[in-house]
Amino acid sequence: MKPRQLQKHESQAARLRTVQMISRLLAATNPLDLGQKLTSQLRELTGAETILLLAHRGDGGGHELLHVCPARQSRLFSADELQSFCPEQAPDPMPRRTEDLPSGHPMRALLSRAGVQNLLSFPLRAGGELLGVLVLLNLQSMVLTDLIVDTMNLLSPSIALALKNARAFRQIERQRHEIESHALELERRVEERTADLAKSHSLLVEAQAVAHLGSWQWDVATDIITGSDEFYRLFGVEPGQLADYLQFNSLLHSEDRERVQQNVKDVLKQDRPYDTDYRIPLPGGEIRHINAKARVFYDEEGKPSRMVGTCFDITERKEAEQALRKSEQLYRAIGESIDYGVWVCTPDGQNTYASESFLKLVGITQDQCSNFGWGNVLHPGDAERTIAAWKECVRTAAMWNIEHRFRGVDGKWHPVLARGVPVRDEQGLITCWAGINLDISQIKRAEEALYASEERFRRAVMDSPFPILLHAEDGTIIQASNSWCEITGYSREELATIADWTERAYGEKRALVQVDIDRLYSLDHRVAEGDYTIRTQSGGTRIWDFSSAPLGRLPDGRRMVISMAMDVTERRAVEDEVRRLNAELEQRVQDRTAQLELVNSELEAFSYSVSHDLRAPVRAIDGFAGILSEEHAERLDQEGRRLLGVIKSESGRMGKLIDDLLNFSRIGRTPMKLEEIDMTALAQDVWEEQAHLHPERRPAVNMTPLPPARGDRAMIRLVWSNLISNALKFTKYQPNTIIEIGAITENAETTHYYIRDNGAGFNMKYVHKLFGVFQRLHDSSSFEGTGVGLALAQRIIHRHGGSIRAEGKVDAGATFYFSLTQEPCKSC
Amino acid sequence: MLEKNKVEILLIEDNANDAEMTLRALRKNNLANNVVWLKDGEAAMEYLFGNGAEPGGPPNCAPKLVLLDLKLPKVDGLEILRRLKGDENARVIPVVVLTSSCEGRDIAESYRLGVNSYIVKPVNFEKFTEAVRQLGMYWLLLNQLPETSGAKTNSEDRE
Repeated sequence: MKPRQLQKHESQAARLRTVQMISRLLAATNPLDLGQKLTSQLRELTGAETILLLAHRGDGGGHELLHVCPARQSRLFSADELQSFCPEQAPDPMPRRTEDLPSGHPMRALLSRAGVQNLLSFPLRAGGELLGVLVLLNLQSMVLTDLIVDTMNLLSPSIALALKNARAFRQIERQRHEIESHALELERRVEERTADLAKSHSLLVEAQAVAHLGSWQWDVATDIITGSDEFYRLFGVEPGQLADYLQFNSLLHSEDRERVQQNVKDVLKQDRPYDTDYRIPLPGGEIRHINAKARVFYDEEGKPSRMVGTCFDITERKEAEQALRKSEQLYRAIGESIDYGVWVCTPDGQNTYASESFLKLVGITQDQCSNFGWGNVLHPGDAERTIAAWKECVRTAAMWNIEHRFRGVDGKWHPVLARGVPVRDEQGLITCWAGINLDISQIKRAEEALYASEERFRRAVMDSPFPILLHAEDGTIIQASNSWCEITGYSREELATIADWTERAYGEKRALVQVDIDRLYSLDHRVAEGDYTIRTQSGGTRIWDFSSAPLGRLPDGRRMVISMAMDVTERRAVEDEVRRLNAELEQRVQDRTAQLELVNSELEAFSYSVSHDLRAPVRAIDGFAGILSEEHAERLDQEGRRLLGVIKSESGRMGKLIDDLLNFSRIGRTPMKLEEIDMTALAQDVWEEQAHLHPERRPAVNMTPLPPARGDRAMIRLVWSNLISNALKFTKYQPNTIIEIGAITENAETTHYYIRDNGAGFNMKYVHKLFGVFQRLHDSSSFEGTGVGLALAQRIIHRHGGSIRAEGKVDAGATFYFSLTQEPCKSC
Repeated sequence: MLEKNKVEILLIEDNANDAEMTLRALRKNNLANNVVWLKDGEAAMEYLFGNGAEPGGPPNCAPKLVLLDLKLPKVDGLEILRRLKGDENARVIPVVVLTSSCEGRDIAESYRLGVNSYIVKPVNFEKFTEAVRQLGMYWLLLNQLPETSGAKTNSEDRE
């Protein structure tokens, strides 16, 4: 509204427009803002310097300042001074100028102090009730005063009414829970004063809008429904669309119609308050929830004439309820998914809710459960304890945390861990108990398995054939096996601690052993401790071979060790015996060796004797036979000379035998000097040497190159020497001597040297005698020799780790093969 | 018995047969004019160093050749060799071991002690005779000894 000054020449119509304008202002303005808007509007209209709006308290308490415009003037007068403006105290008529007040009038001084030169004061009355005073101070021009006075006189009833409504509104604000009755009251009063309060209707509209409260009236006889603005807004329609019962009905949610109609019928018949909820589908698709209340009014004949009531928007509440329900469903679903679900009890411990999963498990109903039926399905071993504990828990408002077993409908016992807490409100009062039931059967089974496993371990230890001891680092003996006690003869009571054990078993040496035991607790692996001699109860001693290993920690953190012993008393005795026997054996070996050495040295002495002493007589025989033949031959006849020849020949053979035998003996004792030997050259050399002894035969040899060998050159030379001389000897009657020397290499490793002749050969039947000492296969008259040569060759070859063999056939020659390994056997 | 300073060959041999054959061989070769034959080691030591002579004393004779058997009664041939070669004056006397032993250790020990020659007596009579002839010829005729010997020489006797 555009403010402007009232003009003197303006017509009555214009004045009325002003009145209407102010009236609309009064109707459209929020009651809380009424004073401010009204005073500022009037100040502009009238040109007054200050406008005061005083409200009459109505209970004889005088006036209070409702509003001042401009606001800075609110302290212009004190509360007491304001009472001067009360129509009952002010001069009547009130002079417009301050100076017109009778001198000495208290108001004159008051106004003068406040700098007020002129004023207009309008009592605000409605229906004869004084509601307040409107005071205009220091008007700019007194010319227009009359016009203002006229206009204000017209407006004052409306203002008074608005003031009254504002006061009523404040009451509504303060007492929101009483708003319905207030609204009804207001409506009734409005109805009674329709004429006076036409404009105040808007106030109600405001109030209703704020409260989402619509008021309505249904004239039953005429079937006309009228309602407040908010009423139509709640239904989402224009007034014309909700004018009768049929229309009302059609606006309801289809599911609610029948019920609401029935309610209305019942209410009309029985004169009782109408209070029902229904839903209204809004054009946008939303659902509005309404709570409707009403009273029925009856005519003189007792027929229902009209229903007057309210509609209250409870959508938010319904939605909150729905949300709450959803949330409850959610929690319930969560509860059902927790093994045996959740439960809720009253503060005094009575169950009010248990999850379906639990009820199904134990086969009781919620009602039974609420009557402590859950106690009946407890395991008899748990029931008494659990119920007592629950009572105690409720009494002390402690945490509920207990394990017990429920009998399931499947006939099995179900171990359950129940946990719960008291739920408290803001004041800390317990509103309920809430908790869960957890299925711990798997844990229980695992516990049982663990227990069984521990039991097995315990029995394994207890019944072990070996003494076993479990002990902790503080010296406690956790467990001693039966065998431990049986062998030692100490009872478990006597072996409570390691100190008990060491004292009994080790006596004075216990401190040393204790050091060894203490070391065990820091082990991280098995350790073999070795033998300890322990003393038994009966005073005997046993030897125990101990092994220990760490066994983790006890629940209280103490380190534990398992020590196991093997009773090796008998074994050690046997071992000692074995050791003794070994030593004895060793001694015997040494003795025998010494004996053998003695025998050996005797043999050497014998060889020496043979070498020295045996030759002398032979030499004497030969020598004196020689002297005889040289110096006395002429005195002997032919037979005598022949016999002398035999003596000489046999003594010569004897000398040869002795020499060969000594050689043979020496070969076995002489140390070998191994070296690389050019066998071709060696064999050739020996051949030439030997062939030279038989110049008359001009023997020939067919020799192929020989692989080199490793051996003692002198010895191998002897081998060749013997074999070649042998071949030459046995071919001496062969007109065409054919001797062949060669080698066959077998597997690229072993070389077999051979020498073949076409001489007398031998019968394979006697091949085993061929290499024996003094063994001869031919008579000495045909083939001279001592029978030592081949034996010597074999001995040399054996010392080299090789082998020698012969093939032959009588009168068809012989072949000798021999081989030498690279590394001659040392034991040969 | 010859005078000691005329002795050319000292034969120390316990075996009478061997001694006879040795002497015969020497005789046949005209080498046996000044030969003394001693039958055991003790006798040899006494002859060489004198009975009761303090140990280490010089020999009281200086033959041109000693033929020494090893295996001797009482005092071993090696012991006699050790004494002779261990003595500063006697060391120059040629000693030839003439023995039956062809044991390596006897040979080695003899040479270690300083023997001049080591001959194994051949069993064969002809070879034996030949061996004695050769060694006699060699040591008495071919071999030259030093002029001055620590022992009482027989140089005047030769003149």
